[in-house]
Amino acid sequence: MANGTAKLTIDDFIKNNEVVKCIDSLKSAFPAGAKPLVVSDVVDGDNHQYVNLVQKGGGVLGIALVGYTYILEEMGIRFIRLAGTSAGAINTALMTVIGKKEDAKSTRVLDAICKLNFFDLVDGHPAARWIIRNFITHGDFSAKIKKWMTGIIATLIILLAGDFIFLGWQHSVHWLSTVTMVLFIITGIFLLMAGVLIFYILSLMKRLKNAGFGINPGDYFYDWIKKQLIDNGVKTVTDLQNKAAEDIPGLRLRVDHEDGLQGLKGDVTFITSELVTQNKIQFPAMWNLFRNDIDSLQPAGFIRASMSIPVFFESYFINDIPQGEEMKRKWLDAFGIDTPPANARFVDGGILSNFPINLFYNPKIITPRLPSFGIDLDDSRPGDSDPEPENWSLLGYFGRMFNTIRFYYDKDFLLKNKVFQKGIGTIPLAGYNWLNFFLSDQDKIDMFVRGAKAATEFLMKFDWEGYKDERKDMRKKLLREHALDPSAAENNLHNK
Amino acid sequence: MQIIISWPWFCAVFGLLLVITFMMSLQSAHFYTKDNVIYKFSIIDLELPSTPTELVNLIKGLYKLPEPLSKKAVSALKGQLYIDFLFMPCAYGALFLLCMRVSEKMQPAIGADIFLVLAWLQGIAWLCDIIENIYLLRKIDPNPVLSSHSVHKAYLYMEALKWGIALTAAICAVSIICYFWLSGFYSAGSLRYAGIMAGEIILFLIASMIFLKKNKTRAGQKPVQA
Repeated sequence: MANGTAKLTIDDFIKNNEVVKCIDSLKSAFPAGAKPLVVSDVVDGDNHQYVNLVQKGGGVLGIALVGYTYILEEMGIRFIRLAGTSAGAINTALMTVIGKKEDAKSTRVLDAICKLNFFDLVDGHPAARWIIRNFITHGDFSAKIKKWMTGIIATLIILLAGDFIFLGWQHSVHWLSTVTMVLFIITGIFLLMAGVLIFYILSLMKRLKNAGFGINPGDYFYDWIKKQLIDNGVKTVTDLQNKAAEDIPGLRLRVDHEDGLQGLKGDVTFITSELVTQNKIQFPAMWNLFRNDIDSLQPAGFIRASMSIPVFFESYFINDIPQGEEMKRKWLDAFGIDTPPANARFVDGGILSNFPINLFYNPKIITPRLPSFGIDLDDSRPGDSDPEPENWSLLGYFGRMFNTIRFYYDKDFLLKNKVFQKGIGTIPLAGYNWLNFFLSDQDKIDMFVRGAKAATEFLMKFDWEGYKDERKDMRKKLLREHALDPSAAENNLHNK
Repeated sequence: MQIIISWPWFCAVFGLLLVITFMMSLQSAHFYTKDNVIYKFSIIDLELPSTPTELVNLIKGLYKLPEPLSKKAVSALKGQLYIDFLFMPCAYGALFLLCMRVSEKMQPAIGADIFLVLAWLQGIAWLCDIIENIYLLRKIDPNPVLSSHSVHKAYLYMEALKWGIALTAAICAVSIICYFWLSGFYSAGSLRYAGIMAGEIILFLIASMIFLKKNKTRAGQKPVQA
């Protein structure tokens, strides 16, 4: 598969020794009859257990998400409500549309990924592709650029020096005049090439501006995901919503619950950031803010909008938003804006909420019937948490500022609702560059294995009864706060 | 032929080249197209598009512009492609004369022959340019035909050939002229023509600064209003 060689098969992933070991260890820890794995009270006719699932964004690291969901599915876990951002949105979309709710889907997601040459997603200008291939995907690309610049300047100095040395020398050694002329031509050609390079870089910068500050149009991805949706019978937004909400045969509760099965309906959410009105948008739920007719939007556009990594991909636009009274009312209700924008411009949802687990929080629930699982991707290296802030470079300083802003929204929710942490498994992916679209086959398998291992570790520790108790305690605490200070508790409920 | 291959002729052709370049620059101030946003493009974007779709989208975008911007952009682009037919003999003619002049002075004979070949190769570059213009003129339509990848590849190869021949000739001739000048291997009379060319270039730059700036401001306001 790597770089278009298309050799990887599903078996390379799922029959990997480490992955098989993960499943064996889980099956021996939770033998079917004696001590089965219990992660939810919602089960179907085939005894699959149902949970909600949130998948984090992270570029090519998304393969690890599939490793994680594969293990969950192998252990009989299925998903009712799904949500994701960016790469998480891609997996979420595929898991929503493939097969039926009660089916295991990860191997089919894997199959779709195996057939995809990742570098095709980098569909920008050939020069931009070349730069990404040779520089950006390498960890130390600034050093590589420096080396190239030094080489160019050194060659130019040598050529110019040679021109003048030979120009003087030819007076004493006559035949050197031909060599001097050739040297002059070589210098001219070298200067021409340098000029063309500068012109090309400038024109690429101009193209970047013209393209809405995106190096790659993202058209290849749009066509690919659209095909995946259509191949699975999803052509319209209505199809997508119906597919996400389709009934599960034999759905029941393992234990009695006052709400019974009420409200246990599937749905799907992709998070994206809208820059014109500066809002977080949840598709497909918010489709009606952009069109009057649900099916005049393309579901593939929602996923494309969610994965528009700023600068790397062009923004996704929805143009010609209707401006009628009805639309004005919807925008006023949703965001307090009385004039809807004429055009909306979307970038990666990850800049606002890369891990939208808060979507599944319902303050009215006293005892949860099913948990919300989240898959976190952690590509930080040990050295990244440098405790000496005075040593940061300018880039490091801005990077940390940006990360503090973009991660705090999700972090704040988890800090206030610690019980949700219990449903989150983290896949350690240090050493992988999330923008490296040149992953080798081995890298892909390794990421999948890491996902599988993280899921195994998570399931070994997950305590469903403890989760429920903690959730009940959280509710009691909120009610206590309400009794002491109703307004504060009310705020707290809203914040959550 | 010998009369034509001379510095006075070169100065005349070079002057005409600058006049036509100036006219083309005035037209290019109206080169706007629309994709997601209205943006400016250059003729190079049409000459070296990375994919067939890119070229088609750029042309389609001309017709997506609001009026009167769209009409102006289309007529400016077509106008420039027609004027380019006048520009070509001047550009390739100037390069031909330059290479011939260098060839005449060149020692050893192999060098002279190389420059002779470079001079006559300008005919191929000219032919490529003509084909390119016809190809583009036929494409300018609200619904342009999407070329196949092989046609697009052939188009890019032709562009590479055209630019390769012209730029190689220009850079080799200018490099050798610099060599002659630094070695003192030139006639004092030719300095007069160097002065004329410098004057032409200065005039071109002044005119560009005055007129193009005005034109750019006028044209540049329209997309914002639209």
